[in-house]
Amino acid sequence: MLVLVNGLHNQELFASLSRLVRLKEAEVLLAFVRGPGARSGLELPRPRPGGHHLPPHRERELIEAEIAGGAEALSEAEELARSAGASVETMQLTGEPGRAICEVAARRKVDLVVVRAGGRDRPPLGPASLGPTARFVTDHSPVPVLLLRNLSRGRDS
Amino acid sequence: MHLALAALIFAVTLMLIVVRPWRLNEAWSAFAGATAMVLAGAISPAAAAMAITGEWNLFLFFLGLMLTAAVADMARFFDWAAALAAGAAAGSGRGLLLNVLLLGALITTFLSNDATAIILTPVVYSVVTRLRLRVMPYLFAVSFMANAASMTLPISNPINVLTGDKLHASLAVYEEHLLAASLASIAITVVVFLAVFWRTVDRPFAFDWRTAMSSAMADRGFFVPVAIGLAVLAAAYLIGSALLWPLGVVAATGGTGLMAIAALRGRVSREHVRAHVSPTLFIYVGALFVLVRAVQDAGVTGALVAGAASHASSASSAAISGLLGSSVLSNLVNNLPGVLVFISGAQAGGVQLGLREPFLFGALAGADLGPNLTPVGALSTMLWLVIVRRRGIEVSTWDFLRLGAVVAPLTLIAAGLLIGASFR
Repeated sequence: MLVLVNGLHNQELFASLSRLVRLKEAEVLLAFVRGPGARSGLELPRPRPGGHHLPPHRERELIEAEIAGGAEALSEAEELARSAGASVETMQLTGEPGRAICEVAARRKVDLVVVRAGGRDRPPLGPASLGPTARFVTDHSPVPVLLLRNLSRGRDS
Repeated sequence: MHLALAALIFAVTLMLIVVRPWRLNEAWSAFAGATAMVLAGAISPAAAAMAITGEWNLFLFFLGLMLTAAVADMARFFDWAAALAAGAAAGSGRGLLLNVLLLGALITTFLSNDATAIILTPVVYSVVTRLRLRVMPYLFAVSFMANAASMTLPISNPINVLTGDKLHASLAVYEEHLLAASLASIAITVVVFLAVFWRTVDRPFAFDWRTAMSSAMADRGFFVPVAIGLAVLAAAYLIGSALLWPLGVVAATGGTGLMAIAALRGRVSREHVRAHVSPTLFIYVGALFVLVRAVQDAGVTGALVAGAASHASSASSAAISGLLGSSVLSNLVNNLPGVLVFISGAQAGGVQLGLREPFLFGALAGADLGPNLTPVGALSTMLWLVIVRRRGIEVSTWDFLRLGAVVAPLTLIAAGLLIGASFR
């Protein structure tokens, strides 16, 4: 199975997953996607007329921080999956998360894709949403999808 | 004839600035509009030149801010400050959100909203990504605080310098009318953010802040003089505001002094200078001055502002009229052209002489706080949002709008009431 890891909910993700799916001896592919979502926050401040570009050293630092954060998230998720008895492979991808996950699911011919609803860290204002990634994967995945909701409140559906 | 033509050129130019067709730089749209005004005879070349040269203080201020930001970035001052904020949070995600908000307020107050938005944002992104915290609440915090704290001092926002030049208000007068509103706006932003994100940022973290601070200060011979230089510049801004010195001269002197420190230490980086100093900004601002002067001479801005101020019968109501009108216009056409129209209209007789000061203080507050309602303003953002969301790409602008719908009205109401009360 292919599990999308975002690093924020590893404990809850695997607690829910282990209740719904037999992880022992399962082959789990953990994927972390460095997507444009968080970066779009950098564009929140109104740019100066004339455009503003990050100095190259800042750009490098951001990429390094994203890779380091992703590697740590994958390492933590790997430990959780292994402790549940699964055999684990990890990968870091770049691009729009929904598309990246669907492409890997098709290429690796996985049996199941696991994503969590709610997407990224949006303000808890207004109606709840699946989030663009979960919605995209649900719509376009070439294989069955297991959608996990309400992880932070300890409920699954 | 001149009135209709000038109004048409102005409206088309503002539309091009806001919509940015073919990603056209707004500086070139403004330049084309200003040129069209001259060619159409709405303003003479001599008057256009006067409109630009008369604002030398603002141009110097922008130059000083850019040089200061470039050197502060070279010296990794903001990295050091962010590491300090993360260390002081003692591993609490909520503590870090509070500290990021306070750091944003402090940097905005003394180094302008531009420095906060442009330099602090990527630094905070880097820190929270490494800590594996939710990125967006912290980026929102920086972005919102850059506006919320931007009327604390005359140098906290270039718009304040522009308006202050017209009002000839000393620091004491400025603070008499705006300090309470600014502190209220900062406090409201802090409270709203903690309330909205209280559960979202509850994740604890481990952070070796001493190593991060040491890393930021690796070149102490450069970092320490720059930190001292920034402190001296902040003090000079306060003294200059109190004594009605032209703040552009203070900013440019400070920026040049900091650049000299960087040169003496052999640390001037072309990459930083190119990233922080944008010559097209001067074209944009200069062209806006020409455009606004042309429509002022044609009587457009006076009529517009007279409409906005038509219900102002007292100083308090004039302040509130200025605030509301300016905040709306800032979201429609960006805050710099917005406030320019209000200043021009007030000067052109759109507001009674006795009500001009409260009206302009209100307009200043509206232009500073209003942009918290939308990140870029206008239709283009909304269209862009619809398109990218259909394609499944996650963008934060929609979230900004929802958060802005809470923060902006609260801060604007508080500011309106407090500024109005300061004139009673």
